[in-house]
Amino acid sequence: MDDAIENAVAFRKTLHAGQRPVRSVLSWELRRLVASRSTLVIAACTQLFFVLILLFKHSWSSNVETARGGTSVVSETLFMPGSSPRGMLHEVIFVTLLLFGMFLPFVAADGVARDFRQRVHELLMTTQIPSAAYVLGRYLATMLLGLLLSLELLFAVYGVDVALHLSVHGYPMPVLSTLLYIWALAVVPATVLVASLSFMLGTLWPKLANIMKLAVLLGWIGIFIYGQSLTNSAWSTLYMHWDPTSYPMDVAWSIRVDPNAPPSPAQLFRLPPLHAFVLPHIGLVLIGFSLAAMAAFGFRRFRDVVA
Amino acid sequence: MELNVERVSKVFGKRWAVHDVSLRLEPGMIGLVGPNGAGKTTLMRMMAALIPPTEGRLSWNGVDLQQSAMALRRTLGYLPQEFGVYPELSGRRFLRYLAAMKGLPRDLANHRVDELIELVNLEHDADRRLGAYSGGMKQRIGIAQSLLNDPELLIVDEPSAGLDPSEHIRFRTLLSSLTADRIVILSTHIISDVEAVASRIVILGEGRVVVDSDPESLISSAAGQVWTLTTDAVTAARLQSTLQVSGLISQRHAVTLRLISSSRPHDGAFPAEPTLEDAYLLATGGSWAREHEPAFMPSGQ
Repeated sequence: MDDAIENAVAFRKTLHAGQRPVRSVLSWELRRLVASRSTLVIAACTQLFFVLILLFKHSWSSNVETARGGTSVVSETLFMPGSSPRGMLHEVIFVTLLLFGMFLPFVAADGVARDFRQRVHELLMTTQIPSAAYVLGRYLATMLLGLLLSLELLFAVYGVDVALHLSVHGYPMPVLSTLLYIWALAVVPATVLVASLSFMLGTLWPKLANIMKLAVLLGWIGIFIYGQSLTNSAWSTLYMHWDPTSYPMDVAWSIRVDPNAPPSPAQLFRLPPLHAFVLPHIGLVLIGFSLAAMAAFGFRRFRDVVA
Repeated sequence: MELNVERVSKVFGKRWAVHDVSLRLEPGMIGLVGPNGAGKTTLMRMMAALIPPTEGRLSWNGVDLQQSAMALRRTLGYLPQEFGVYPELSGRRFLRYLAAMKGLPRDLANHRVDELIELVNLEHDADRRLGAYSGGMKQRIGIAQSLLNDPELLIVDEPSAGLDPSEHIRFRTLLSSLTADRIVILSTHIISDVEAVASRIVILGEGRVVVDSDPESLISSAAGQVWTLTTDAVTAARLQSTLQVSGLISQRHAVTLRLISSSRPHDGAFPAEPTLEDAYLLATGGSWAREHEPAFMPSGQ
């Protein structure tokens, strides 16, 4: 019996020796996600959805405004291919990111809340994993999943545009570096912000996770609608650079031409200057990380949530 | 090692689930019993640092759980009454997952998981997805996870639920073997389990401690208050409505009753040796029997 007690004491001493709890939570959550059929179904459906919607809307007509006597008038209608720099901007922001932002809360809010719904939380909350490590590990896994899904958006835009270039006469070859720039500037910040906000709300109020998902979805739509109503005011100028939907990035730059020096189609379809959006969008990413930190340190493990 | 519960109460809304409970728990097996709604699960959740008490204090080796529960969690094994699993993982991977959360280094975790899978007799199903497990198999996974870190404090809430009789006996034997150097708190409706393995019995009723004793003393307290009687169906029905009945055997032309009464309940009644179930009924006023025994109705009534 003494041997058994000594063995037990030695065994207990080995527990948690040199462990990295955040990495442990992250790696196991990723393994769980990979093992889950629903993850594969979500990934496949997302990819298919983006491809189908881009095949449906891969080019469009764009009004060209000509300045005359201090006012702009629509002088002609221009065919705009989706694979042109400006076309890709529209495809990424208006065609795909808008819908992606509506879908993302349903993936991200469950990072911790799923454990409460599946009644695994009592098993986990009685282990010695530190609360902050548990939440941060889950956040990183959620964020990786969100970014993976946003990469699918990127692949869909590039893949469809390449396919159209190969099959449709006059459809230009998409420039990957331009697409990556648009993705990094518009999609990544939106993904980090929306996923972090959804994760934080779902983690701090796990019993209300479904309501939180809807709240974020409605908020996303609300911001998009508000972005359409912007006028030429100082507030609008400030706001448009911080709009997480990036909608002002797409529409605020109407094609205006000087009738005395009409540009070539290549010049018309070039990417508008976006450098003013860079810092605000880095700010959106930092806000997202702050929300994750709030979730980690606001998570109350010892509470009536299980009752 | 010591778990101290000092004047602990818990209120949900306006209902006192646990009221002014004080216990000092030391190594050994403690059987926690009581009727449904007596507050057993709430008390165990507070002991496992899952929910805070409304009043009072719980401490593990002198450390207040509301100040820091980490010392307790390092040495805690907990099997909730109801728990979920990740259906996409196999039983083995799920245990490895929880072993990682409990801080076991990988090699040790793999070895420990294999040991426990063998212990709960799941060697042939350990690599199947948990979604395909029966209720009893999931319960065995729950039992295995509670032992992953070789806990000093083991809290098991209705561990026999879903186990078949042979697994039930196997688990009861396992629990008995664990009590040498740890505190084991067993909550169950199966009084015979407590009788077989517990050195101390705590009966809760309406959130309060009704009895805190060892099983032998509790049984002796029922001496002279347990009777057997073989009678006709009509008399049996009449006695059932006025007295606590701890057992009933229906025969072709008669009914044999086991009755709890401080005085001889019928001229034909004989004194019987009390069991822990009888003593429990005396302590709780028969609520267990009302929950577990179907009421006897003589034919034609």
